[in-house]
Amino acid sequence: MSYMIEVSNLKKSFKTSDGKRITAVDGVSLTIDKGEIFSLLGPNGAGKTTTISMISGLISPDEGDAVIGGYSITKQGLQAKRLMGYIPQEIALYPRLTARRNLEFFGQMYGMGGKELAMRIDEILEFVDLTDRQNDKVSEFSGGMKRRVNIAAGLLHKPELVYMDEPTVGIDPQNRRRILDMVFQLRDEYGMTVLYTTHLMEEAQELSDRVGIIDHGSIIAIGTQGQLTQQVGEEDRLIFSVSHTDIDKSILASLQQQVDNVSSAIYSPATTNPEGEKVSANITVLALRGRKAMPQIIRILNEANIDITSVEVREPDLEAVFLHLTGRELRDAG
Amino acid sequence: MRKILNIAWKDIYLTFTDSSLLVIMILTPLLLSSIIGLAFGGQGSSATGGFGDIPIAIVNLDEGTDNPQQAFDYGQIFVDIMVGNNTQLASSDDDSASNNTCETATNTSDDSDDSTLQDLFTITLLDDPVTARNAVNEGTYVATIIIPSDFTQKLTPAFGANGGSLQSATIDVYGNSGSPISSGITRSVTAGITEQFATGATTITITIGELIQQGQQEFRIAAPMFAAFATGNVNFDFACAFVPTSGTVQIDRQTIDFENLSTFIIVLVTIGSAQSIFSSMFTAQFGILSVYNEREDGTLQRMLVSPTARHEILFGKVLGVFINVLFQLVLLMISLTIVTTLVEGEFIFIWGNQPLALLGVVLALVLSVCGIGILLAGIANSAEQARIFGPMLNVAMGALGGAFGFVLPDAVSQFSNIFWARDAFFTLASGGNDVLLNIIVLTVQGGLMTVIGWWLFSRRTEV
Repeated sequence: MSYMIEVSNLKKSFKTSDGKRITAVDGVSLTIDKGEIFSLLGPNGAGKTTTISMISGLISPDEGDAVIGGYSITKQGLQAKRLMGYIPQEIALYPRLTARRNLEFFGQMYGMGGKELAMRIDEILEFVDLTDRQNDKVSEFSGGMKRRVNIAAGLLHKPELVYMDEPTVGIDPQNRRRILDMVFQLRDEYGMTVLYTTHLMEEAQELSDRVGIIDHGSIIAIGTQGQLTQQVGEEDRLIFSVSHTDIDKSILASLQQQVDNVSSAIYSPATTNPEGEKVSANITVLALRGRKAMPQIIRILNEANIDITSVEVREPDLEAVFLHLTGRELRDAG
Repeated sequence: MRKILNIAWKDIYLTFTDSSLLVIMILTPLLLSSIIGLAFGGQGSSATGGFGDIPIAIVNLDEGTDNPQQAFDYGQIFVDIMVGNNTQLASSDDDSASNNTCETATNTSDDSDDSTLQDLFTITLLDDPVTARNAVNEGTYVATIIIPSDFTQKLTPAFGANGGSLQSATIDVYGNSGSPISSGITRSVTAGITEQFATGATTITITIGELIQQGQQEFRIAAPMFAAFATGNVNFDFACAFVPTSGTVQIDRQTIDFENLSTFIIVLVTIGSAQSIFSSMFTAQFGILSVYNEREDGTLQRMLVSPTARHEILFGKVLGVFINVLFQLVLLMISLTIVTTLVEGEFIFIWGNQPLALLGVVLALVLSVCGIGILLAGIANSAEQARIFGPMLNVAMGALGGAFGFVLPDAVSQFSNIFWARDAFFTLASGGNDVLLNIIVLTVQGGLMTVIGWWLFSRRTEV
């Protein structure tokens, strides 16, 4: 099997305004096969975008290299870039241009023109289901439609490799579903390799052939979902939603000490996720044979006068893997 | 190249389809210029009609020259031209021999020129420069023209074995900043006349210098020449030939063609061109700074991950800005011409009749305006910094260059590209064509700033 991407020891640090150097990516190495959907999963600020920016040639690495389809991004940048399509996190379009004019502009940046470009734009507009709105200005589009034009602009030149940097951030479930289906289509119908970054465990689980978990600029685990969850063993994840705004650390410590088979207990305060949904405060407990441990946990929380509003038991998943490896939850690890 | 044009075309399209931007770029300077033009220039009035009563003072301190063979006194000639004294342009030395006097040719066109100047100004002759300056400060006069004591002396060629030499001679025009247009006109008229003196003196110097050098080689030329100088028997009609207002040799008198230029046009050309340049400086700066916007919006990143070199992106951006500024200036010049035509009731192209010179000035100006934008974007550490300092720089350049209706001394104004361009436009509009120096200054200024700014700014395409 030949690799579409071979990344070796990528490093990047930045200087902050107060003169300190922070390491954003610290020795990332990975390989991605042709025709594979590979997700880079990590909390906000983990180094996903910096990694993808180096692999796509947007920024130069301090150390290391990425070879795309046989071309080094640091030495043969233009050849490597011809193979790539880039779908950024933000809507990178000209709002005062029509969808079609935007696509024409970005198509010409890939050296396309004339009838070839016109035909390809027709095809891609059909792919993203925007043929009937092609002559409307992007500023008049809904968020989901803008996302679809954003995707179309990255696929115009039929790239062999597509980078998708959190493409579902801030859109409604219907459009998110549509985008996830497109990702499958890219692999299954067009044979493209997809490098997908996300902080949403569910997306990574659903889409990916393999997942790389990244935290603090380093890949901490890599493999298929099955391979990764094996690392956590049989531990269940018990999520107790609570109405309290603050939990004494001693309660969490007593859960670990007094309840059999509990390996960790952490408190996450109430928050709003990137999609704007409110997430209540909760206590997450990792425990072997979690259901058996549940009565004892509830008793301790009741004795501490903590109101439990709901309880959820989850089988081992990528969230549990992240929790197991870092001691933090994905959603509040950033 | 296609990618460069693609980026440039996109920027041009985005600029000229943005109605609010067009209001700032075209409508605002056009309205301001027209309002100022109507307010200061008077609707459809001619120069002689609109500015017929510009009160100025002339202090003639010129002491003439020690040279007994000198045929004329430049200071007195200047005064005579200004006051319209056409009967005799004579040396101020009353003891001069009759052959030291240049008779004025009976040239009707010259008469009309002089009467125009006479109608344009109300002139008071004073003896004391301090009194004259105080009177300007008090508002009695809008300007005073002070002719220095060594004015003629400096314009009188000194001849030696190797030919002749001249010194630089200047006339001081002290203007009231409260009457910018009138004092600006006074400066222009003064400059126009002294330019003719300089041309004449230079021609005499070169011609006689050449004769002296030939005389050193050929005795048949030298003998009568030195005999004539020795006896004082020199035919001064030769020198008189180079005096302005003399009809013997027609030196171009059209530097300031007030006969054809109404005050409305004068104001529109000076203020309109300065306002147009001032406005175009914002277009250039914001055009270059749009790289920052593209970075914030992610479109720069999208271009950078395509197989497009960074320098192609930068070239495209700069080309787009260059064309935008060019279009803006051309549109403003056309619009100002249309306004003039509507006000004057007939088609008048107010930018002169030298299309090549006009094109040269416009292109040099565009380079200069873009150069400032590129340099600013290159020097600034961030978009915010550039957005703060850009307008400050523009206002400073506008103030120096006379975009706001007041005129600063030339020594200070020359630091502004607006000064050089405005001066060139005014020269062209007045029927002149001597704008080479302006083009050179604007081109060198723009070229240098572009190169330095480009070098600094190329870092900004890093994301």
